[in-house]
Amino acid sequence: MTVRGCIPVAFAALLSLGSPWAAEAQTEASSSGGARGTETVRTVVPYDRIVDAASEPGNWFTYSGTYAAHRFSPLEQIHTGNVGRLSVEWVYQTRPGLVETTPVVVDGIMYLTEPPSTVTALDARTGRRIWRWLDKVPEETLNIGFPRVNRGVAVLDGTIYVGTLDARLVALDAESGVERWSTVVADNSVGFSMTGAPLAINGKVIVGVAGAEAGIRGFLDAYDAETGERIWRTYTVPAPGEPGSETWQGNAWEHGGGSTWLTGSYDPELNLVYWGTGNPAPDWNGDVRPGDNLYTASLIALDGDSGEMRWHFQFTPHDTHDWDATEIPVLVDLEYGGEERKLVVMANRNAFYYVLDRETGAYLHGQEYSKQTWAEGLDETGRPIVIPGTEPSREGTLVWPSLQGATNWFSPSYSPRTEMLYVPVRHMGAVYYKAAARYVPGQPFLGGGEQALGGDDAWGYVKALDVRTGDIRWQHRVLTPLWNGVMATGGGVVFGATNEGNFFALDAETGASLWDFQAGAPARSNPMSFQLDGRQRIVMSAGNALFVLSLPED
Amino acid sequence: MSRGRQKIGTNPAWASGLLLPLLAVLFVCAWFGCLTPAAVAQEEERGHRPDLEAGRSQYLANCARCHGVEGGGGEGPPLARVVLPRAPTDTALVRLIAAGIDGTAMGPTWWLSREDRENVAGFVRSLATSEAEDGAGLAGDPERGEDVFREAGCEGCHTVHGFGTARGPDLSTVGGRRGVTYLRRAIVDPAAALPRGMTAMPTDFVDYLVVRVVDAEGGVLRGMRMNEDTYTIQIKDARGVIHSYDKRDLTSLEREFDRSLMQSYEDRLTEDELDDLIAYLASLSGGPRGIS
Repeated sequence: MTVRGCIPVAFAALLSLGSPWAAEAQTEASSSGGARGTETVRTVVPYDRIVDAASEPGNWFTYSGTYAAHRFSPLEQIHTGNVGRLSVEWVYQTRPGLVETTPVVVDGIMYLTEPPSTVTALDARTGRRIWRWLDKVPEETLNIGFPRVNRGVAVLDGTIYVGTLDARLVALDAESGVERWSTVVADNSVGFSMTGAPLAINGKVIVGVAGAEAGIRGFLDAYDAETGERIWRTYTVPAPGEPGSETWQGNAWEHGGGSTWLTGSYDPELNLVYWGTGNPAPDWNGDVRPGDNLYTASLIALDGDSGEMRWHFQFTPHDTHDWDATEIPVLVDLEYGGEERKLVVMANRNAFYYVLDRETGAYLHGQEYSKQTWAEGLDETGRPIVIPGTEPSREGTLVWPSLQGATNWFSPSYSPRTEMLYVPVRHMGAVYYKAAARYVPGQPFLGGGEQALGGDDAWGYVKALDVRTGDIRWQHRVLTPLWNGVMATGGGVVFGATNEGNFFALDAETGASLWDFQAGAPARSNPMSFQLDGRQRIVMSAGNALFVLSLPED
Repeated sequence: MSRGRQKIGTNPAWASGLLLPLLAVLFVCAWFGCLTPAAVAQEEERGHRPDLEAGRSQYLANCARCHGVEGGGGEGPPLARVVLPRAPTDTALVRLIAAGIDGTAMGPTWWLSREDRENVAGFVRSLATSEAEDGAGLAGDPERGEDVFREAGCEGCHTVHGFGTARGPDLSTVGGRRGVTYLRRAIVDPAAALPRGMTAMPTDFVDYLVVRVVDAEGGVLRGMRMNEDTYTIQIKDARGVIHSYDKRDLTSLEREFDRSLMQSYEDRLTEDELDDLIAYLASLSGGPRGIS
């Protein structure tokens, strides 16, 4: 269903400035022009501007910063030598609920989401609100298997896109927050939901869905950015007769899971969308779904125009530990094995790190990056050599990592300067139980339980992985398993935050602790950075407060 | 079960016997969403004949760690009772399983379907007639136990209804939170029954943990961990004074998981006194003094 609203085109045209996407976007008040304050141009982000995001390091255009999803800021004003002087510039307090958003910042305006699916535009200089769109998500909206969160927006041309908890894709006018259209992506009453930031490419908005714990059949969708009409849908679980259906039996595919709840990456040259898929359903009882269960717990590469699947790679065949492979696929171009290659790398929830050829999906390398006790290793095709007896059982089976994985939804960061992938790690085991599972629409469909080892028996790390080999160059231990992402910068710093409210900065080369700040509440989002008026800002969240930090003016 | 000392920066040996510190499913609840009130209400309207075998399976996966495999209690209260104080009706029990109990280690169970919860509730009800009903520890007399509590000097470290010294855990509601087996262990072998989730420590960390630090000047402090994050630790010394350290300034930080600041009372009480004391503690289920 699509609902269209009015677009104030004439008014927008009247106000638009001459060169709306010039690299130096903001214009200072001229001395002869009277007291106008500091002006901000109207947000206009054509596709080409996102493709060339690296040429505008002061802006942050997508959930992961760029299509390649490095979550790397080339800005270098804040560096290893001065990060110790970082201080709070302003704070924004969100609506109640868990905050997992990564803001987008374009031309002096910050667009963020607030719990559960509200969108807010702030003056990035002061934190003062410009507009807010209230989501009106009904109280009875189902969120089976995840909290009532949202991780951010996509921006394209003059429009902001958000996926809502009740599984709608909504387009908002970037200038006013006025709703342009709203499309129902899927039926929330059977457990479909949306928590991830959409990915906007050329004329299309790509969105995934959550709900594998409710036994959905997952898919990835593309919508026309102008009209909200659906252009393609690609299911992550094939119907009988389709490729991959031989990895299912009976009717299990109908409720087979394979959600797509985080944001993928995109290669504009290959026109391929890379997206991770979630666990098969039910989570812990694999008896009702014999087979590898394609394309769950996989990375899939889809043609941007048609949604056709070009290749897939399954990390965890027949997963029984809830190890979604929805983690961020990071696209890197590197000399590898003596030649320039287009690679995609992923630190997977199953505790292995993978290097794939992103043109073909060929497996190149993989190895363990965090404690795991379920596989002897990976064979030459990248398939795990599973240790017998590590499946959930009626009496309980102790396995590392826990269901939340060696890492989870929070982002890693890749620095092209150090050629390291920085990964927030959860060093934690769990006892997995298996129980009966019966599919009932709109009810949890898990087939067991998990009791994690916690407290003093689990902890976290930021680990720096050699992007080619996965070898751990350094690691920084933190008190508890992380729920917050990291960001590396051109200044040679890696930023992150802990469950205990510590914001921290590490030396990207050595892991040395450079700075920390107690923010007073658990941190569970992703850092980002932008530059405005010649000053670099670091953005991190704790509790319901979004902090913008910078160096004090001399 | 002891774990030996663990030094900062070194991984503890994950030997086979280390299952004690299983984190309750509570941790999952802490970040997953909870059931909405509307959904809970909706569930109550439907009837269902519980499948006890399926309920037992879910009970083992989700409940047994705290409440005991046979419902005899442990870190959590016993469930093998004809009357469950917090869940007088089946509807209330299903609702409690769904929503958890605020302020306790019992969190909501979003991952159980309505049918699962009804099966678990049915199984829990069936425990009341099982042989596991742990009445043995209640052989004592609670009134005599209150005298034992005073004479043994328990109020030197514990409080009950506002009286005593609040160095260790407050015991005003301990009978409603702990099983008899756990209470006995906590008195006889306190280091094997270190509580969790009662203090300012992050979720499910050991409370009242003995730690020993050495600073750069060689100064040594041994005391009780009050809180900790990645970079700092707060320790209370024997006089009740709080010391705050940046961990990066310490040359050593040891966590003494095999110790408790409480001494064992195994050799200080007769078996009868112990029974009486346990009966007294079990009677402290949360009501006002004198009535509970």
